[in-house]
Amino acid sequence: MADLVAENLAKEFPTPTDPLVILSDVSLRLSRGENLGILGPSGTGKSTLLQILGTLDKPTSGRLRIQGRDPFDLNEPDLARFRSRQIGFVFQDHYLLPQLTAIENVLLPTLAEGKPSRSTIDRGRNLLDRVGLSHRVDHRPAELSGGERQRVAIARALIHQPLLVLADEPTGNLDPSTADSVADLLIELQGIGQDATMLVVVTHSAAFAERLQHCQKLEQGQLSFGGTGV
Amino acid sequence: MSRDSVISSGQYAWDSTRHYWRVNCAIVLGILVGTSVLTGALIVGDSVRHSLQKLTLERLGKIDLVLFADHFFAPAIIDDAISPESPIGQLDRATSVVMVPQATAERTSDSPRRSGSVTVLGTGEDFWSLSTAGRKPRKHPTGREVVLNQPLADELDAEIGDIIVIRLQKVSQVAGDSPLGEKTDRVRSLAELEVIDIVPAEGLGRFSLQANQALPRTAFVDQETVQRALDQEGRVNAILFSGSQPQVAPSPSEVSSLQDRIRPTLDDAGLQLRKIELTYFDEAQEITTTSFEYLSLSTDAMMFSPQAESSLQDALSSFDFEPVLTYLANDIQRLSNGETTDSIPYSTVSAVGSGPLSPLAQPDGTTLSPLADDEIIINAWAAEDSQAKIGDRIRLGFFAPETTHGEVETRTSDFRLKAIAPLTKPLLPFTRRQPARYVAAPQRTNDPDLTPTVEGVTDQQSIAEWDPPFPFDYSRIRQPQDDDYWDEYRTTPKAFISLSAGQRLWGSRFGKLTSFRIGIDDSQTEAQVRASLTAAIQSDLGAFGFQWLPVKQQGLLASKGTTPFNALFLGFSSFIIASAVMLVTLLLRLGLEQRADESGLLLAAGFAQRRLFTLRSLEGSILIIGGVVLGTLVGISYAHLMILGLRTWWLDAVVTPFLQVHIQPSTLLTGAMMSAVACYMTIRWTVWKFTKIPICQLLAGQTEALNPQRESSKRLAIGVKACLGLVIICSMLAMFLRGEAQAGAFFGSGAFALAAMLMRVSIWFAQPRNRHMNDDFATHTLVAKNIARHPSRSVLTIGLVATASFLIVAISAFRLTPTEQGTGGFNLLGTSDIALFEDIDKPAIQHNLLSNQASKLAGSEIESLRFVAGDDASCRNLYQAQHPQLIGITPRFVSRFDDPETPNFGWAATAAQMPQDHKNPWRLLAENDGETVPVVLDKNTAMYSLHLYRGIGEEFEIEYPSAGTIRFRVIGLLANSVLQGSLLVSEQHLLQQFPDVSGYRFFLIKCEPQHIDAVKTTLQNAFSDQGLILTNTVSLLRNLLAVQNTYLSTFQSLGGLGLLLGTLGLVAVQMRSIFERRREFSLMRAMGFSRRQLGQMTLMEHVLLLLSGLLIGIFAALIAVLPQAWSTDVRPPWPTVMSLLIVIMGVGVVTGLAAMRPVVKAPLAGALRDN
Repeated sequence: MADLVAENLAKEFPTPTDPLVILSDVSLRLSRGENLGILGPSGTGKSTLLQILGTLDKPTSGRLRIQGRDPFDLNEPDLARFRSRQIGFVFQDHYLLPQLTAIENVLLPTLAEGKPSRSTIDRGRNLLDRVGLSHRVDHRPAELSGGERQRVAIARALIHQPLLVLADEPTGNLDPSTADSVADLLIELQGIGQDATMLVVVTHSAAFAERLQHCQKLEQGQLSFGGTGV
Repeated sequence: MSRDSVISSGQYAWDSTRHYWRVNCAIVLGILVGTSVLTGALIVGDSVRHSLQKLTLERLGKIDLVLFADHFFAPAIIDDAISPESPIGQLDRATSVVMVPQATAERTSDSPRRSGSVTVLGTGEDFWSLSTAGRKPRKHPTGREVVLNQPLADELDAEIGDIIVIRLQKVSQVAGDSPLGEKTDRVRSLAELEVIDIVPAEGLGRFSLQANQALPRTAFVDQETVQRALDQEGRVNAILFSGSQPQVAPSPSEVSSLQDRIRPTLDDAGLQLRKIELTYFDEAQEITTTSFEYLSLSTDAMMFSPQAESSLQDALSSFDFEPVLTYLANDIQRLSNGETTDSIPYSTVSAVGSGPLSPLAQPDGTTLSPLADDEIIINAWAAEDSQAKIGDRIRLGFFAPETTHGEVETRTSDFRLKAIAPLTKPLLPFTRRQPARYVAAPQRTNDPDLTPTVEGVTDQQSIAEWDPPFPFDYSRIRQPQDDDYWDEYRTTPKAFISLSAGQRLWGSRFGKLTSFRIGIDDSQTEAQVRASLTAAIQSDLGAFGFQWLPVKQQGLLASKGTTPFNALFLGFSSFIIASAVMLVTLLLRLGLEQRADESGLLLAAGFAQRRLFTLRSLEGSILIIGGVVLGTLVGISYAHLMILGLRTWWLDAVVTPFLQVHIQPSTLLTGAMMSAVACYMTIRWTVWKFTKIPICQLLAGQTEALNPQRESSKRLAIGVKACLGLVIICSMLAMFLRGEAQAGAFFGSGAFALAAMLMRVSIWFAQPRNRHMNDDFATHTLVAKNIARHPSRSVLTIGLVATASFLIVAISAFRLTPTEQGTGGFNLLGTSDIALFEDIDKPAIQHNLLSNQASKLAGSEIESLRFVAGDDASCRNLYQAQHPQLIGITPRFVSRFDDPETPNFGWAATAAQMPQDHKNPWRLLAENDGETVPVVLDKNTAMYSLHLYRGIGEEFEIEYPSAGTIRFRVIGLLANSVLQGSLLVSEQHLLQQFPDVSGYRFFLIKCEPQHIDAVKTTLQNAFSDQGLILTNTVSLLRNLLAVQNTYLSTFQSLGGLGLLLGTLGLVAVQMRSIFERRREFSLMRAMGFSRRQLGQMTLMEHVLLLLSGLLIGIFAALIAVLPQAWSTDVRPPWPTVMSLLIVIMGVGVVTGLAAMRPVVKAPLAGALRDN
């Protein structure tokens, strides 16, 4: 059975006239170790879909199941805990806290559950090492390049070894060379086997999408298989 | 509406102001607060002045001017009736009244109640038509009826229908301190007066000549009733001149014209001009022949006052006259071989000159004078009685001309008998209705009219009927010769000495002449003499006991007040203003930060810095206009609130709730302008600082320095060390100081500690963080890093709260409590309405007066001091004292403090140079440089009431209606004493300046603390007729200190309000900060942080800033307050202060919670989408 199941997801926003339909009937399935790229022009609801998959926003209708559970059945604190444990985010803007160093930014999600343990801190350092930033551990975001910041953001998304990593235009602000390396890194860190995560990437980059196992196109609120992917 | 294609600066500014309306509203609110407080404080100052002025006009009604005398006179003193038909300028009416400013009232019942310092007004019904406000009595009192004003009724607990008694001082022109003055029977009573109405203390119901906002106690009685009680039928002692313009004092020319219309008679001035004729019946020619005649000018006061004497001498300069001083000799004795022989008791002796009108001049032109100062002439009767011969030594025994504590002192002086004056024996002696009748020409020395009238003596038919005011031993009267002499010669002097010798022996502050003998003949008639004397009196009314009191002019002058309340409340509100300015700065900076990229863009697009500065200043000006206009309007409400405070919570500062809000347009304009200028400067400074940020940094939205400024940190570090050094210096200095100076030093050390701590906080924020993460990374690390993210915001926040809490707590160091140094070790203080002459400190006198009650005074020490009534110059009187009351310090009081073990008053400063003066600075009062009167006064009286800021050595002049201008020299300042409000001069100087003062009216009593009530009750009961009212010095001092303490409370309350406003402002800053971090919060929620966690985190940041400020402020304040609390008995009002701080903390937390709620509650996806 798939670890991520979305069935008939719809999202509408009320307007003074008719409701604005962003998503009308979106379904998808994904299992550990799989990754999916979502393509589409701006304004088609890619980010909205990602936010629903990340439990940041509720669908107007349809069901979402992650490992068989509907996360929206949880209350706010439990949902927050669920998100902390199971989901990692990477945004186009890295959203690093300027007052924290690279390692502190990586460890930031762990504060939601209290003080990070020694092993968590080691894991954070290890992740920074894996993203090639072992020499930037104590640097602040203002002292990092765009690619380095995004790599810190990736490390931050993986600190809890989440089930699902959601990346919203992670290479959108990067030059092609850096974008390539970031894309490689995301896929590489997804891992394999029991510890592997699912990766959903919203991107405009066809090159990035080509490296992913699955690729779908979001048009008029519905997913359709795109021309790329496995 | 279409817009020009090219947008103007004004349009841009207006549009920007509208677009960023949220933050601009907050800035306008800050400006509003500053403006309203500033304007409100100015309105309070206006209101106090206006209320004092209104009170003055109301209590005086239409009365402009008062002619007041120390004696009674005929109301017809004003020659022509002043009326609306024949006014003098605005003055159109004269109302004669009997006014007794110092009387005692007592409600007679099973539980009598007594009130002192009551003003009794004996008026006609027309008095009430002088009122311009308040209620008139329903019925004017007649006969045994009285109307009370409400304060007196309250004090007596009297109601309509109750019976009261009023005690007044008996009218006597002979000074009580003269041995011939009355000392005991000095009280007259208005008994069985029925209270027929009680009028409120408004309008003339508050009538008083004293400029004081405290409620006067006044009783209104029928004029004839009080005249009868004082044996002054048809006479009054005051005329009230009123006008048609109650709001305006009469002009000097109007006053001068009025003075010209005063036509006092000799009788009005207490003078008698009598034609004296010594006649005999010439049996040979069977006609009555005049032996000699002259005009005798004498005075009701027995002696002419020095001023009156001088004036009369001038008036008589064109006439022949001879001054005379006649005095009582207790003994005339011949000395034989140095031993005294039998005494002639109770004789009069005249000191005369050698002019042709001298009684020693003989009809034949020869004269027995001149007399050398050691020569005496006795009359034939005395010579025969004493068997004295020319050349014998004659000893006169007499009373010293002044008494102390009513105790007469007997002195003697020896003379050589130069001659024996002839004396014609009358055929028929004096009878009750007829003078003695002669058949042979009486001698000039046969003149009983050389002796002035002495009530109880000269008016008696026989010596047996004498009731003299001096100690009189009837057993010394020899029978029959002394009675025979009285029958035949009455008060005819038995001896004569030279005028200079007489004045040396018997002259005093009361005068040195008893009469003038004025010759009359064809060239100088009695009418001429009378006219000349009348003219002299009219031109020099003050010399004859009259006082012109320009009550309205002085009242309006005094209503300018002692304390500049506008400045005072500006000071009290300073923290609110400072909070508002800091808030405006903070909010403005936030607004600018919010638009940092916009500013960067404008600069990048080619705007010069100056242009950007102008644009932003223009936007600021729009906010100022809005804030100032609204703030001025709110300021009126703030003023109402302050006045309400002064009428209720802070009533101790103004004594009575009389203040009313008064708004002047010019004040509103001044407040608005001052605020606008201050805000404009603040805005320009903030904008100027902002435009200095590099463009690239602005474009990146960066407004804080990326790297800590090491140079700045170094400077701050030096500042910290300097401040700590000053803390130590101030603390050490404080150990050598006392009182408020010590409190000031401690306050300084606390203030420097505060500055050091705030600088240290700044350094902490500025210093590079240790970036290497350790195992401690947790939420609190994040909180700390968030706080350090905007160092200037955080330092400003902490500084604001710290400074406010420091001021609120540290100001307690100046709170005053009664001390022994404030009371001088005395337990009771009081004044009497009528002077006491007895030395009530002496056990024998206590026993004599109190019999078995005297035992209650055992162990007490009573200091009786001279007192001149006047304006209360203490800080409890808001009016500016025009004639401050005086206390005459007796030598005994001074010597009391020679013993260093005796508790003394605390001195703030003295002019002492010599060691003995340092030990007892009171000794300096005896200095006499002939030009100035040394004075000691309380420091608060000097500074706040009399505005003497130069301290020791400062000279100042005060014009007293009865003594003219006196020049004082400050030789000592008392610190927070119970003697506040009075000028303290030596008894000697006081009596020189105020010779009419007799007896003692001011009392300081030291007794065992457990006996205070018993001593007070005993003395008040014993001297109830004199209106002695005693007060516990500790409670009195507490009342006096309450003014300063109330001001401190006001400052603390308004400071607390300022801090509260500051806290609310901080919440606005916090909201802005949270708003800025929406993205951060969204991200953290996406990472799994719950709303609760985010809420706790931001609240912790807010509380940490607030708490840091409070703790730093309190810690610095404790440095200021605790040493003071340990070294003195000053106890800061901890519960109040701590409650205030807890409330502030609570409000801060609650509003902080409210502020972050909407942001934290915002939908997560929406927040992320915003980014």
